[in-house]
Amino acid sequence: MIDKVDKEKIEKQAKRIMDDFISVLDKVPEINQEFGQEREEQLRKPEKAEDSKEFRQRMFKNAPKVKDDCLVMEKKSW
Amino acid sequence: METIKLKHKLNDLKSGKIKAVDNVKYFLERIEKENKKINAILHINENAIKEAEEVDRKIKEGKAGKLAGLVIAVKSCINVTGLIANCASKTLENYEATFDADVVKKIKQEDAIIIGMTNMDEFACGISGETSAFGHTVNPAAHERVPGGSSSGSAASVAAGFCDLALGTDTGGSIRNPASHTGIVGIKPSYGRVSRYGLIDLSMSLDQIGPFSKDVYGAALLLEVISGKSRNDPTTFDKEVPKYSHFEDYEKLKEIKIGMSSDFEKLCKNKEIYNLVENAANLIAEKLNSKIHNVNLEYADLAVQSYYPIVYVEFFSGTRKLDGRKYGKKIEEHCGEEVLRRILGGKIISQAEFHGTYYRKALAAKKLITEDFNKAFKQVDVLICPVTPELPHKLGDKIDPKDAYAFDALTIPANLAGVCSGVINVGQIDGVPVGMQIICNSFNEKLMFDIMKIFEDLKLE
Repeated sequence: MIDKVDKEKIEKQAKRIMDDFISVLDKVPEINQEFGQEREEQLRKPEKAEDSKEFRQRMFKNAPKVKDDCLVMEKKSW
Repeated sequence: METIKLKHKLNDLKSGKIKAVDNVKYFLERIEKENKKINAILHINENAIKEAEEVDRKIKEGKAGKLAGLVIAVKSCINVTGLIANCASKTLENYEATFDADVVKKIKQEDAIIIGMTNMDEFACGISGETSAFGHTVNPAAHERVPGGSSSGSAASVAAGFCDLALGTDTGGSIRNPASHTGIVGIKPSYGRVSRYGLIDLSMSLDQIGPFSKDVYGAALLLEVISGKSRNDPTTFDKEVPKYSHFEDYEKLKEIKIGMSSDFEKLCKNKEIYNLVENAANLIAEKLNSKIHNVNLEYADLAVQSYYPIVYVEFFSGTRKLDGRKYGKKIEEHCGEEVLRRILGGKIISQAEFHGTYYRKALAAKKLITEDFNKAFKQVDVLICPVTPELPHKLGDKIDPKDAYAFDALTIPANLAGVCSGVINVGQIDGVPVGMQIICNSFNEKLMFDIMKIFEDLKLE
């Protein structure tokens, strides 16, 4: 686990790297482009979830905390 | 068994001359004996022999698929039901996949046997294989050097003879870089060619799953199987998948236009690498009665600087699900330094996004690089260039993050442009393998494989 001091160092380094990179991109001319295009034919249709016993077993096995038929999660810190 | 060409081996498996069970046992023994040194495989499929028995039964009945009896290793960020998909991270240390990725479903349908899950850079964040939480992978072709990353274990598994074929992922060079360093074939397909459903993503707008093989035939056959439209991945295209493994006679490819770029040459720091690749390109050109044209890629030098802001922000977004509630542990508390750097950097960029300073600028540069490639492919049919600007560093060498990022300068452009690129070995420098990239336009993998096959045959002449 990375301690708080190192975490701050890493964060500053990440910011510095991004600033350096973006300053290089200053030479990029402004261009008009569309973001987030949606193509109707490529949208996924809603489907019924697969009801598999094996899937449920594996899902619960992966969960950190389980009680009966539920995943247990903390309150408030969301 | 190891030295048999894949096509011959597949024929032997399909005719029953080699049993699928024996093929699996052979590789399990190799892994048992050698993996402690190489550290390429993290998790073994305990059912592999049982699955091979079933394949042998199907072969006997004449009902086996295209990959009957071949043994495949899978990168640990691709879901295979019941196997550990830990992304080489403590965050997902014991995470057991609950479903098969689309690519896995396809290879199982064609009766290949998955032998296990491979080591990698943690969450695919790395260029050397050294950021894995479970120890670095050794390069089987040059033990004191890194094998490259992030698909370090998949490349090393093929190179060390732990499997017939392997699956990796490539976001900015993660298949091509280790393929080059370990002296094997590796393919980054066009964006949208292969479904990413079931891949634990690094950067969803750039990731692609692709094959590793010791020869061009193996890579072509595996890509043929995993390609195609999937309703689970809206970025896949409904385009025909040609028979990549049926190679065109070189006579039919005569006078195709081959390009190299002085813009790539400037980015290649080790001139010996560039010379090796240039000599290989000249051999291909001579065989095809073609000339090499210089192609202008004006914005190629901005690839690294535009790639990382995109990756940082998409990775930050993609890892928000790793909060330790439904599975695994909270990523920020259990990941390594490089993963944390990308998460924290991505968080900053997401905030700065409101001012349009980072992400949009990077996307604008990406568009210009794509246009560069569009123009290039109006002039030439294929582009040839080196894979990495330098030889892989020695294991344990301290590399500054920015220098490490620059290592992908020659591979990132193909990801940003969405085109396909294959790597094949061209020789060695100081005993270290060196690869070259054969880049073709989007969905033109057929031509890419045909050129790679010509070069593979030329090496044997």
